[in-house]
Amino acid sequence: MENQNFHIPLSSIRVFYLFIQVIWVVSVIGIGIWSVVLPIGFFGTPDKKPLFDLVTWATCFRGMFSGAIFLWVLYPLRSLTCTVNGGRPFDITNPSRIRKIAFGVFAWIPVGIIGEYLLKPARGPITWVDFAGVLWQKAVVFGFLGLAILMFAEVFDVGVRLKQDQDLTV
Amino acid sequence: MPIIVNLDLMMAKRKMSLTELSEKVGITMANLSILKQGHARAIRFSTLERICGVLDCQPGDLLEFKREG
Repeated sequence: MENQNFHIPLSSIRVFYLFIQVIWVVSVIGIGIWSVVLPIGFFGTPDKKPLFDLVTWATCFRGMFSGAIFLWVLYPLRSLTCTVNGGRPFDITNPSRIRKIAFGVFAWIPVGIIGEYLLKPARGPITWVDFAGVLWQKAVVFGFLGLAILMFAEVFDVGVRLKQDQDLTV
Repeated sequence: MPIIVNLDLMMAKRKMSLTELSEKVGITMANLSILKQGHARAIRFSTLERICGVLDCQPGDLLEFKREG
Protein backbone atom coordinates (compact mmCIF):
# COMPACT_ATOMS: atom_id res chain seq x y z
CA MET A 1 0.00 0.00 0.00
CA GLU A 2 1.35 3.41 -0.89
CA ASN A 3 1.75 6.27 1.55
CA GLN A 4 -1.48 8.08 1.03
CA ASN A 5 -3.15 10.98 2.75
CA PHE A 6 -6.69 10.68 3.98
CA HIS A 7 -9.19 12.97 2.35
CA ILE A 8 -10.76 15.12 5.06
CA PRO A 9 -14.05 16.59 3.86
CA LEU A 10 -15.30 20.02 4.92
CA SER A 11 -16.13 19.23 8.51
CA SER A 12 -15.68 20.24 12.09
CA ILE A 13 -11.94 19.57 11.76
CA ARG A 14 -11.62 22.28 9.13
CA VAL A 15 -13.64 24.73 11.22
CA PHE A 16 -11.55 23.85 14.28
CA TYR A 17 -8.36 24.29 12.22
CA LEU A 18 -9.40 27.80 11.17
CA PHE A 19 -10.46 28.58 14.74
CA ILE A 20 -7.06 27.48 16.11
CA GLN A 21 -5.25 29.51 13.45
CA VAL A 22 -7.18 32.63 14.48
CA ILE A 23 -6.49 32.00 18.18
CA TRP A 24 -2.81 31.44 17.37
CA VAL A 25 -2.50 34.77 15.54
CA VAL A 26 -4.35 36.61 18.32
CA SER A 27 -2.12 34.97 20.95
CA VAL A 28 1.07 35.91 19.14
CA ILE A 29 -0.12 39.53 18.84
CA GLY A 30 -1.15 39.37 22.51
CA ILE A 31 2.33 38.21 23.55
CA GLY A 32 3.83 41.13 21.66
CA ILE A 33 1.61 43.65 23.42
CA TRP A 34 2.01 41.89 26.76
CA SER A 35 5.82 41.91 26.55
CA VAL A 36 5.70 45.72 26.21
CA VAL A 37 2.88 46.48 28.67
CA LEU A 38 4.07 44.23 31.49
CA PRO A 39 7.54 45.76 32.07
CA ILE A 40 6.13 49.30 31.70
CA GLY A 41 3.33 48.51 34.13
CA PHE A 42 5.65 46.90 36.63
CA PHE A 43 8.73 49.12 36.47
CA GLY A 44 7.18 52.30 35.09
CA THR A 45 8.88 54.64 32.63
CA PRO A 46 11.56 57.24 33.43
CA ASP A 47 8.92 59.95 33.89
CA LYS A 48 6.12 57.80 35.36
CA LYS A 49 5.73 55.63 38.43
CA PRO A 50 4.82 51.94 38.06
CA LEU A 51 1.21 51.61 36.96
CA PHE A 52 0.40 48.35 38.72
CA ASP A 53 -0.41 47.90 42.37
CA LEU A 54 0.14 44.53 44.06
CA VAL A 55 -3.29 43.08 43.17
CA THR A 56 -2.98 44.06 39.51
CA TRP A 57 0.54 42.70 39.45
CA ALA A 58 -0.62 39.43 41.01
CA THR A 59 -3.40 39.14 38.45
CA CYS A 60 -0.90 39.82 35.65
CA PHE A 61 1.47 37.24 37.09
CA ARG A 62 -1.28 34.67 37.10
CA GLY A 63 -2.23 35.66 33.56
CA MET A 64 1.38 35.28 32.51
CA PHE A 65 1.56 31.71 33.81
CA SER A 66 -1.84 30.83 32.38
CA GLY A 67 -0.81 32.36 29.05
CA ALA A 68 2.43 30.36 29.00
CA ILE A 69 0.54 27.13 29.60
CA PHE A 70 -2.09 28.15 27.07
CA LEU A 71 0.63 28.56 24.42
CA TRP A 72 2.25 25.31 25.54
CA VAL A 73 -1.08 23.61 24.78
CA LEU A 74 -1.94 25.72 21.74
CA TYR A 75 1.29 25.18 19.79
CA PRO A 76 1.11 21.35 19.57
CA LEU A 77 -2.66 21.63 19.11
CA ARG A 78 -2.09 23.91 16.12
CA SER A 79 0.47 21.49 14.63
CA LEU A 80 -1.91 18.61 15.29
CA THR A 81 -4.83 20.28 13.53
CA CYS A 82 -2.51 21.20 10.62
CA THR A 83 -1.63 17.52 10.08
CA VAL A 84 -5.22 16.36 10.52
CA ASN A 85 -6.49 19.04 8.16
CA GLY A 86 -3.75 18.04 5.70
CA GLY A 87 -5.09 14.49 5.66
CA ARG A 88 -2.32 13.00 7.83
CA PRO A 89 -4.03 12.29 11.17
CA PHE A 90 -1.68 9.41 11.93
CA ASP A 91 1.49 11.41 11.45
CA ILE A 92 4.34 9.90 13.49
CA THR A 93 4.74 13.11 15.56
CA ASN A 94 1.08 13.41 16.57
CA PRO A 95 1.08 11.10 19.63
CA SER A 96 3.89 13.12 21.24
CA ARG A 97 2.01 16.35 20.42
CA ILE A 98 -1.11 15.00 22.12
CA ARG A 99 0.99 14.01 25.15
CA LYS A 100 2.38 17.56 25.32
CA ILE A 101 -1.18 18.90 25.32
CA ALA A 102 -2.08 16.51 28.16
CA PHE A 103 0.93 17.62 30.25
CA GLY A 104 -0.05 21.24 29.60
CA VAL A 105 -3.53 20.48 30.91
CA PHE A 106 -2.00 18.79 33.98
CA ALA A 107 0.15 21.89 34.56
CA TRP A 108 -3.05 23.90 34.84
CA ILE A 109 -3.85 22.14 38.15
CA PRO A 110 -1.13 23.82 40.28
CA VAL A 111 -1.30 27.08 38.34
CA GLY A 112 -5.10 27.19 38.74
CA ILE A 113 -4.83 26.56 42.48
CA ILE A 114 -2.04 29.10 42.96
CA GLY A 115 -3.89 31.62 40.83
CA GLU A 116 -7.13 31.06 42.69
CA TYR A 117 -5.78 31.61 46.16
CA LEU A 118 -2.19 32.62 46.56
CA LEU A 119 -2.11 35.36 43.95
CA LYS A 120 -5.41 36.96 44.78
CA PRO A 121 -4.94 38.90 48.02
CA ALA A 122 -8.36 40.54 47.54
CA ARG A 123 -10.04 37.17 48.15
CA GLY A 124 -9.23 37.23 51.81
CA PRO A 125 -7.69 34.56 54.03
CA ILE A 126 -7.45 31.02 52.77
CA THR A 127 -9.47 28.43 54.63
CA TRP A 128 -8.70 24.74 54.40
CA VAL A 129 -12.26 23.96 53.32
CA ASP A 130 -12.03 26.44 50.45
CA PHE A 131 -8.60 25.21 49.52
CA ALA A 132 -9.72 21.58 49.50
CA GLY A 133 -12.71 22.57 47.34
CA VAL A 134 -10.54 24.34 44.79
CA LEU A 135 -7.98 21.52 44.84
CA TRP A 136 -10.74 18.98 44.21
CA GLN A 137 -12.33 21.10 41.48
CA LYS A 138 -9.07 21.75 39.58
CA ALA A 139 -7.71 18.25 40.09
CA VAL A 140 -10.92 16.60 38.94
CA VAL A 141 -11.57 18.82 35.92
CA PHE A 142 -8.04 19.16 34.58
CA GLY A 143 -6.87 15.78 35.87
CA PHE A 144 -9.76 14.03 34.15
CA LEU A 145 -9.25 16.05 30.96
CA GLY A 146 -5.48 15.40 30.96
CA LEU A 147 -5.96 11.66 31.49
CA ALA A 148 -8.57 11.53 28.72
CA ILE A 149 -6.16 13.33 26.36
CA LEU A 150 -3.35 10.93 27.35
CA MET A 151 -5.64 8.06 26.47
CA PHE A 152 -6.20 9.62 23.02
CA ALA A 153 -2.40 9.83 22.65
CA GLU A 154 -2.24 6.08 23.22
CA VAL A 155 -5.00 5.56 20.64
CA PHE A 156 -3.06 7.66 18.14
CA ASP A 157 0.10 5.70 18.95
CA VAL A 158 -1.66 2.49 17.96
CA GLY A 159 -3.06 4.25 14.87
CA VAL A 160 0.43 5.35 13.81
CA ARG A 161 1.75 1.79 14.19
CA LEU A 162 -1.18 0.39 12.20
CA LYS A 163 -0.65 2.98 9.47
CA GLN A 164 3.06 2.14 9.27
CA ASP A 165 2.12 -1.53 8.93
CA GLN A 166 -0.40 -0.67 6.24
CA ASP A 167 2.10 1.54 4.37
CA LEU A 168 4.64 -1.28 4.33
CA THR A 169 2.15 -3.93 3.24
CA VAL A 170 2.65 -4.71 -0.43
CA MET B 1 14.29 -9.99 9.46
CA PRO B 2 14.56 -13.81 9.11
CA ILE B 3 12.34 -13.81 6.01
CA ILE B 4 14.43 -13.13 2.91
CA VAL B 5 12.75 -11.96 -0.29
CA ASN B 6 14.48 -13.41 -3.33
CA LEU B 7 12.57 -11.29 -5.82
CA ASP B 8 15.72 -9.90 -7.46
CA LEU B 9 17.00 -13.46 -7.96
CA MET B 10 13.80 -14.56 -9.70
CA MET B 11 13.74 -11.37 -11.78
CA ALA B 12 17.30 -12.05 -12.90
CA LYS B 13 16.40 -15.67 -13.79
CA ARG B 14 13.44 -14.50 -15.86
CA LYS B 15 15.47 -11.54 -17.23
CA MET B 16 12.77 -9.13 -16.19
CA SER B 17 13.27 -5.52 -15.11
CA LEU B 18 11.55 -3.89 -12.16
CA THR B 19 9.58 -1.61 -14.49
CA GLU B 20 8.35 -4.54 -16.59
CA LEU B 21 7.40 -6.55 -13.50
CA SER B 22 5.55 -3.64 -11.92
CA GLU B 23 3.57 -3.09 -15.14
CA LYS B 24 2.71 -6.78 -15.49
CA VAL B 25 1.87 -7.30 -11.80
CA GLY B 26 0.00 -4.02 -11.53
CA ILE B 27 1.69 -2.58 -8.45
CA THR B 28 3.78 0.54 -8.24
CA MET B 29 7.55 0.62 -8.58
CA ALA B 30 7.77 2.09 -5.08
CA ASN B 31 5.95 -0.87 -3.54
CA LEU B 32 7.92 -3.36 -5.59
CA SER B 33 11.15 -1.72 -4.41
CA ILE B 34 9.98 -1.97 -0.79
CA LEU B 35 9.40 -5.68 -1.36
CA LYS B 36 12.67 -6.24 -3.25
CA GLN B 37 14.78 -4.49 -0.62
CA GLY B 38 13.15 -6.48 2.18
CA HIS B 39 11.55 -3.45 3.85
CA ALA B 40 7.99 -4.76 3.54
CA ARG B 41 6.27 -5.80 6.75
CA ALA B 42 3.61 -7.88 5.01
CA ILE B 43 2.60 -9.13 1.60
CA ARG B 44 -0.95 -9.76 0.46
CA PHE B 45 -1.82 -13.17 -0.95
CA SER B 46 -3.26 -11.39 -4.00
CA THR B 47 0.08 -9.62 -4.65
CA LEU B 48 2.03 -12.84 -4.13
CA GLU B 49 -0.33 -14.64 -6.48
CA ARG B 50 0.16 -12.03 -9.22
CA ILE B 51 3.97 -11.98 -8.83
CA CYS B 52 4.13 -15.79 -8.93
CA GLY B 53 1.89 -15.76 -12.00
CA VAL B 54 4.07 -13.27 -13.87
CA LEU B 55 7.41 -14.81 -12.84
CA ASP B 56 6.04 -18.34 -13.24
CA CYS B 57 7.35 -19.52 -9.90
CA GLN B 58 6.21 -20.78 -6.49
CA PRO B 59 5.90 -18.59 -3.35
CA GLY B 60 8.78 -20.62 -1.90
CA ASP B 61 11.02 -19.42 -4.73
CA LEU B 62 10.41 -15.84 -3.66
CA LEU B 63 10.47 -16.20 0.11
CA GLU B 64 13.06 -17.87 2.25
CA PHE B 65 13.37 -18.32 6.01
CA LYS B 66 16.80 -17.86 7.60
CA ARG B 67 17.26 -18.25 11.33
CA GLU B 68 18.84 -15.22 12.97
CA GLY B 69 22.01 -15.37 15.06
